[in-house]
Amino acid sequence: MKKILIIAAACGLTFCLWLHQRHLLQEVQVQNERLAAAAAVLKERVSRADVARQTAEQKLADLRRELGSHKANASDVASRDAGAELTPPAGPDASRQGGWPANAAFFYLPKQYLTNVSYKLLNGGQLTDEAAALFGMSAAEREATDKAFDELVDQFHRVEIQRMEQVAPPAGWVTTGDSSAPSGVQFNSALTYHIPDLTGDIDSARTAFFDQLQQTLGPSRAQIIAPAASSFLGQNMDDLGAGERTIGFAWEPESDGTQSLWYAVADAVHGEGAFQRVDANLDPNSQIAYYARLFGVNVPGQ
Amino acid sequence: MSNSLPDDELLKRYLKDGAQDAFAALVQRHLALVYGVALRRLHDPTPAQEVTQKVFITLARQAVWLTRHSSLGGWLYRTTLNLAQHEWRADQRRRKREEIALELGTCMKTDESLLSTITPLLDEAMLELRTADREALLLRFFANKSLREVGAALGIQEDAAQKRVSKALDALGERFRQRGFRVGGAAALALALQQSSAHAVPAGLALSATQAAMTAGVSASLGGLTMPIVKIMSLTKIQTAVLCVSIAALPLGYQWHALGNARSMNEQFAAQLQTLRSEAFARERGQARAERRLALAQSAMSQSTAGQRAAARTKPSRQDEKLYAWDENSPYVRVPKQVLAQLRFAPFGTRVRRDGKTEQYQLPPLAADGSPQPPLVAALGLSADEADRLRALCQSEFSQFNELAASHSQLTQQPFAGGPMQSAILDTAAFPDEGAQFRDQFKDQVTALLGPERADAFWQQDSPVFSELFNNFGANARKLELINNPQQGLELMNATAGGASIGSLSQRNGMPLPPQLQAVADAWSAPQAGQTDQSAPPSP
Repeated sequence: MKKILIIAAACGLTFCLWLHQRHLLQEVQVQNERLAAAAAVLKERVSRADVARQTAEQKLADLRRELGSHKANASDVASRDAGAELTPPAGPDASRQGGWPANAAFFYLPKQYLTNVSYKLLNGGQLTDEAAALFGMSAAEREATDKAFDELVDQFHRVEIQRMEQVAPPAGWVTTGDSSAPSGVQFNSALTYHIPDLTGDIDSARTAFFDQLQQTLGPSRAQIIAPAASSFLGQNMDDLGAGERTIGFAWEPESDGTQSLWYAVADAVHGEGAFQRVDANLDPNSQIAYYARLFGVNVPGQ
Repeated sequence: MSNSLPDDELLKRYLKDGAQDAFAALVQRHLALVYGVALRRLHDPTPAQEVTQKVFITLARQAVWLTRHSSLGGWLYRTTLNLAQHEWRADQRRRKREEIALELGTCMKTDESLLSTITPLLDEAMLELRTADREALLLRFFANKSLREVGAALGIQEDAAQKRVSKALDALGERFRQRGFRVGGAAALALALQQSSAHAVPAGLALSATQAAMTAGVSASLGGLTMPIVKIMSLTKIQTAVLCVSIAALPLGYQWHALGNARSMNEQFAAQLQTLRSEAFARERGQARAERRLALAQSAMSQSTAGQRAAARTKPSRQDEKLYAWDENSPYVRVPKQVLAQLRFAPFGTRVRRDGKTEQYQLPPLAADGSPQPPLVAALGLSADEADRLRALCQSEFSQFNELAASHSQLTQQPFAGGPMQSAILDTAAFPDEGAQFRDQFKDQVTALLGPERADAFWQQDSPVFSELFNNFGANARKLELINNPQQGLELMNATAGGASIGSLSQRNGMPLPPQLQAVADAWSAPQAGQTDQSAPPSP
């Protein structure tokens, strides 16, 4: 009888271990499904980007040819426009802090108030028209600033891609019937990545960017734009990876069988988890859209 | 063949295959012992035969548990005694003992009389022996084995078997002597034992005992479940341990293997994704750059085409560049009016974030009393006189609107959601007609003061204030609930027909509250109001 009891105990213990392992296996399998889907999305994006790039380059070649044929005509038009606009503009009126010339396409703003103006600095990785206009940038200055910012973002994203690691969702992100979930929403799966503090990795690129800004725009403008750029980086790019973060996307099963997509982040600012539903109105230039593309997550409607 | 197999093998064959010949061989082998013991106890062949059958039925039923028994003969002996005792009533046994007691110590018994005297007590004396001694006597005298066979059965040498038998006879003799019998030496006792076991087994008893055991339906129960139990029971400790490990290893090993595969696949996916991400990032950057070059070329193309220049103007032309070029020596910048809608003119405040860092936020372009903030005044290019008149106008309009809104509002204070926190609710009904009339008059006055272009600019810059503070000039009913939350500070819940939102007062970016609620907020926690807003609007 003792042997039968021992063997029965072994069977019971085995069953418990088997259940535990089964749970782990299911978790890994769900993760694998997510990763496989992400890989498929990324592959599709690679091929789509190739096609789009080739198309753009083809169009560019065509346009350049066409541009050549218009050169003479454009040159005439430019001369006529130059003659028309050479009329001296109305000067600033000191009694009105520069003034608002009624018939001009511009108004004057004292430089001291440039720090009291809010505007969108960048959109889609490029300076916005309003930012360029506010700081009187020439096309060359704008292009150089765009390039400097482009290189900074490029460097940051490369480092970020190198350092990010896929991890299991933090405790409580994926729940099954746990009403104490930090999100208050029941997610059945999540795809999460841990990104370490990148400050050390990106410091040189950040310094190079601000040096380039100063070199391109001069100290007075660079002094005003730099805080705006820092603020933009802080609000839109996690201050170039300052502080470790865990970010991911979680799926919430709906009653109709569909799944809602949520963006989740855990860091020093957001605590154990801040969750934001991702819908079809997502700005394609937003940080969430960027990470969705990076992780290979399909955003609804995009 | 069955006759040559040991007892345990015969039992296993019987259990595994239901082999009747194996069981019959067992019966044949031990029948004399069982019958002899039964007859000796009962003194009557008929009940002795019944007991014999019962013993073998019991053997068949308990065969599962006996495969590992050290001596089947010993078990049969004890079982026979037990069953015989059930047959023989206790009172009859007592009577016989009394009769025997009368004869105790009266004379030296002859060997013949010794046999007849000790026979009724022989089995009791046998039971008092050590198991090893009893086994030796059973084999030697009851099963009629030679000393070599006894030694083989007990796993000892022949001479050791002889010594054990002699020792057992001595011990048995000592038992009888303790009971008052005067028995002779070991040889006499051995002879008596041989005689006591030499009972002629009735013909056909073996067959009837075997059939009785078989027909008891015992063998039918020895099906699929019994054999595994038998096998388990017959396992050694090491075999048991191996079996346990096998039981655990097979499913867990398989699952572990699957888990390992899944994890390996997971790692492969992660590596593949890493590569794909880098690749996708690089390709999409390439795509973006190509598209940017294309956009520049398209812009250049549009500028080169007469008539399209003004319509497709997304970037300043070369002439515009000169007009808007940054002049280090000028205290002013020229800002295109077309980008005015994308700019907001108001001072910034700072607050401390959750991670301890500070962040900036922009205050509303109009102060709580309606005064335009200096950056807005500067952007509109107002003269000092215009600025004073606009400030006076705005303050007056703010005051009037607050009175108008107050006439449609009701302020109540109550515990928030029935809990310990206080709350003040400002319930404002919609007054769209009066509000629209007020708005139009206000707009007309601003236009008269600033002209249509700057009035539009003023209105556009201040639209967030009119939307939030004036609730779009009373277009909709609204309920504002100020909550005194000891943990989070003051919070404001804004409920309209379109939905509700709740947030800390510090998250309102300096947007003023209606005067009634502001008074409550000041009364509740004056220190909290200035805690997060660390900057004051700069003076012009």
